[in-house]
Amino acid sequence: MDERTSWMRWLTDLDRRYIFVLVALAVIIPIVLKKVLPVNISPSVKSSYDFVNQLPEGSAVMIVLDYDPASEAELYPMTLALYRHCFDRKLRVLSYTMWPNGAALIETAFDKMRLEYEGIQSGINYVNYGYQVGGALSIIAAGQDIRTAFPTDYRGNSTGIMPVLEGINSLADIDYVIDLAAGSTIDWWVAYGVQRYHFTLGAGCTAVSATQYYPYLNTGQINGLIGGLKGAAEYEQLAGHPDRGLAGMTAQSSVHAVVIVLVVLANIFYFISRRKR
Amino acid sequence: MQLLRKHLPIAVAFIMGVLLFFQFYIPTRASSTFLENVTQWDRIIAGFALLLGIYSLLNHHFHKLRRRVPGWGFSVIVYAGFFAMMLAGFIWGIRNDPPISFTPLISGLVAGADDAVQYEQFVTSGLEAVPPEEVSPTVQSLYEVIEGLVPNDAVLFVVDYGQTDEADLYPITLVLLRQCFRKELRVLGVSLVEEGEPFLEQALSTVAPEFDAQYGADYVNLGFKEGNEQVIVSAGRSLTDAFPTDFEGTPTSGMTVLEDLESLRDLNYLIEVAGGTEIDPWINWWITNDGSAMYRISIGLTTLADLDPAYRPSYGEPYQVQESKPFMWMYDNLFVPMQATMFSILAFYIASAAYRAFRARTKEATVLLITAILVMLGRVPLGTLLIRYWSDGHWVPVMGLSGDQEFLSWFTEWILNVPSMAAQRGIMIGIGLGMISTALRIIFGIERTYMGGGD
Repeated sequence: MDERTSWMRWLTDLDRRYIFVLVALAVIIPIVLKKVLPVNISPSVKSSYDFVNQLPEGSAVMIVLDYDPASEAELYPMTLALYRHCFDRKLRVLSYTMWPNGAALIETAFDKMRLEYEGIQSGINYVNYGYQVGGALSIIAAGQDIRTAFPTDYRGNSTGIMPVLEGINSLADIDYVIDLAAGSTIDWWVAYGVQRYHFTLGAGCTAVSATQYYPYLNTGQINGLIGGLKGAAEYEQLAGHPDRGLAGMTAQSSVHAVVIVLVVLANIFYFISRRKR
Repeated sequence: MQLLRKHLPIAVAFIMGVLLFFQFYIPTRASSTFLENVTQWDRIIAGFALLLGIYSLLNHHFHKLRRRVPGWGFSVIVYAGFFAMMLAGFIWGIRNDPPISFTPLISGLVAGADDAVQYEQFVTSGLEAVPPEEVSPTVQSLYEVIEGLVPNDAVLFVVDYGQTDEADLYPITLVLLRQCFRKELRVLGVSLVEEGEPFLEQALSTVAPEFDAQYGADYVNLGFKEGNEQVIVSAGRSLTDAFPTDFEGTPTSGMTVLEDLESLRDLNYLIEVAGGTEIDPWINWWITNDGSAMYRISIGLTTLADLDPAYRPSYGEPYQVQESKPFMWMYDNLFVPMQATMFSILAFYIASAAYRAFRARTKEATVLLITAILVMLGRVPLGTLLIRYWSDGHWVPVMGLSGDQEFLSWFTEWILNVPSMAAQRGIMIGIGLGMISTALRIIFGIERTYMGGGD
């Protein structure tokens, strides 16, 4: 085996730890440099933003956080961008989760909003219903009667007389519902929510699952789709609140570039070694 | 026994399946109530699934521990983590108390001539008038707080300086009043030092006519009030008790400008223009007794440059303090980072797997490879900067050229909206048909695996 062939074999079977180091550097360096690149706005994100933007003051928006900390990196920036847009527009916000580990994330996000938007109060400007058991059944229950379905909020306060719910008896009375999902809950919202109770639905999801929901977008069953960290960054840019989404896109750009370079190099080595044989 | 184990579950599945099927097509009140009740029952049953899940987890790891299977140490960690979080939740609760908000004592500070000049530039020409590197954050903060107020908000405008400081503070008094009247705020002028009253009156009578502000409706001069901190304490209880008449002796009760204002708590902001040490007694009282927290109102202070060090420590932005319960501490500091780490590891494995396995061995694999690279580039800002697409059909692979649309962005959207969506739609239709046939099989008792026992 000549020296050139052994080099080629070494490159083809490159120890994965070198790749791990490259990926780590591609993430860390842009974060340390704090360089932010503007993102292109996709029609599906613009559509959700425009819908929220045209809602009159006092309209009710339900933002459902169907994820847990595993997907926090992608979906939490999206949550904050939506909350900020809603509170900027003085809309009422209702939130809950079908994931047991997601309830505390909602409360953390609202705590942050209370600091940013002086004067907003639980029960008046927003309500956190916390975790609701039953998955798709919680959608049907809220569609029938929201107070019976969610009788108390996250802290155990009765929702019956909360001013934030004035004029809202079921999902049909909510102006916009957005499901931010790490699993398959968007399918449930379409099948058990929109088809039965006829409200406008938007969706946000992790980048890896975004392709599943384009058929719903195409048929109008959802009016917008915010996909992955890029979707969050686009929404932040539109709403004028740059935060973790936009900051993370530079790191994501460099990791994508590293993976592409690796794949191209691997194929070059593959063709060279195949020609030799 | 056969009845309970076999016939009854099949009968229940059949009856409930048929009833809920027809319920969807019968929009009567009775049908709706039936669905509501069934849903509530279903959610109660679903709650027990969580308990079954916990039992299953503990049972699985108990057997691993008992048999000392390889990796049994991880089962010990599962038990330790489970009971630590459960006990912390039961003993101290699972929810943090709501955070306590603190209002800073001074939310804006203009100290000295340089700050005053900068403030005047802000008011006359906006924030852009001053280069960002020269902007004083405390001056900007005062400007932004007042700009953030909405028409009809009420400000207490306190003028506390005498003839000695007139040259330094009278011009900024006029600037602040102009900003308040331009924003259509209600201005309640007052002076806690006797020498301040003439300057307050002169400033109000100069600025108010410029904005057609009406006395008694848009502003009022409450004049000099003796008593320093006692005036504040009294105004904290009732504004009309603290200021029963204006500077000319006219009763304040019934004045439109004081409508719906009972005490200091109802005011939106307190602007203090102060010189020398005249302000010390009451502002020291305010600082010592945390007047901002007591009355939920912070101060915008304008003073002399040499007093800057005395009051700058009290400047700050609103903040919150929240005490973390042990359960939430573990959730925030252990559970969240560990779950996020597990998901993040995917990026490393995907990169490694792509390097090893993503090869253009066949024509199909080559198409997939090229598409994947283009979509990966199109989903990030770096890629969209690389190739731009012009509406006449040409695409230009040069960074930075202006064009109608970024080619990669357009191509990514097309891939997702056309070929990928067509495939997804096929999968969804297949899943839908599968769900219908499975549901029918369960309703008619053909599918019985849900009963267990391999029947």
